[in-house]
Amino acid sequence: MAPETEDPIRRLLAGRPRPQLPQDFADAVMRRVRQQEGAYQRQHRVGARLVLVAYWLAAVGASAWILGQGPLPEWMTAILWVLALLLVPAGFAFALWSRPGAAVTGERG
Amino acid sequence: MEDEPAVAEYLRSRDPEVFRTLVERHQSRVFRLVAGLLGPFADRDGQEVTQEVFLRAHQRLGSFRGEARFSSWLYRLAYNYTLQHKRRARLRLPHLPIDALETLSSGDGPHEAAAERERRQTVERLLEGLPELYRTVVYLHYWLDATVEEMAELLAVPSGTVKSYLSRARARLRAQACASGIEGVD
Repeated sequence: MAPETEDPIRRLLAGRPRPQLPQDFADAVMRRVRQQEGAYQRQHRVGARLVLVAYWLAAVGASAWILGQGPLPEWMTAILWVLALLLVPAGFAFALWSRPGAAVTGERG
Repeated sequence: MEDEPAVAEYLRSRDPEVFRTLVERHQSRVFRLVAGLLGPFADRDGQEVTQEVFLRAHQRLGSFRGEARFSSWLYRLAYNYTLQHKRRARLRLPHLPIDALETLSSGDGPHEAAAERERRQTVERLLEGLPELYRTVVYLHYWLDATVEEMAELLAVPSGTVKSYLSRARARLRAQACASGIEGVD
């Protein structure tokens, strides 16, 4: 093999400055991670509220329509209202709010 | 804490310190891989691309299922993202060799400077003309002084394969340098 000084490729690459990471690189990454998390959670909350509002409106409409069809036993009416207006939306809210940063498709490992 | 349990812990607790530990543990290696892929003639700094790699990793951490090592998953992500970035940059930016600017301040005469610039540009073209993997191992080895073992880990291939890439890259460069009238490439 030719001496290093005679090899133009080695010489060219050796003459190039070696890149260095700054000391505060991890701080910079973490700042951007916090921004990313904040943006994601804001987006997530807005989405969750829209879904809940849409669900509530649809549930109220559907319940009113069912009740308008004829008298139901009192216990059935109570179950309908509890399910439509409380339990199911609460489940939705729990599912949406309890998964910040959940899986996004990408590299599998 | 090992990488894989740290990922699981972060996904459970979202404690930023846990993710910071992962960043600090892998930042040098990821940066060297990114720099090796971008090469010494890149217009953009590898730091920015490395930051993007970690942000992307953070975003996709939920898809890491622990079937492979976290480091392999991260290096694969860095490799794919950097290549994607290079392709986009190639479409977006005109190529401006840094040597053209360097020679402006050179103390040599205009003829010597022009000849040296031309020579450097030819060598740069030869290097940039190598297939992606060959070029990357050449940059990692000759520019960043990476060992064969380190390259094998970063590229997720056996050491023997890395040696073979290096040897084939050298052979191609030698042949192309001869054809371009450059001596001393070995």
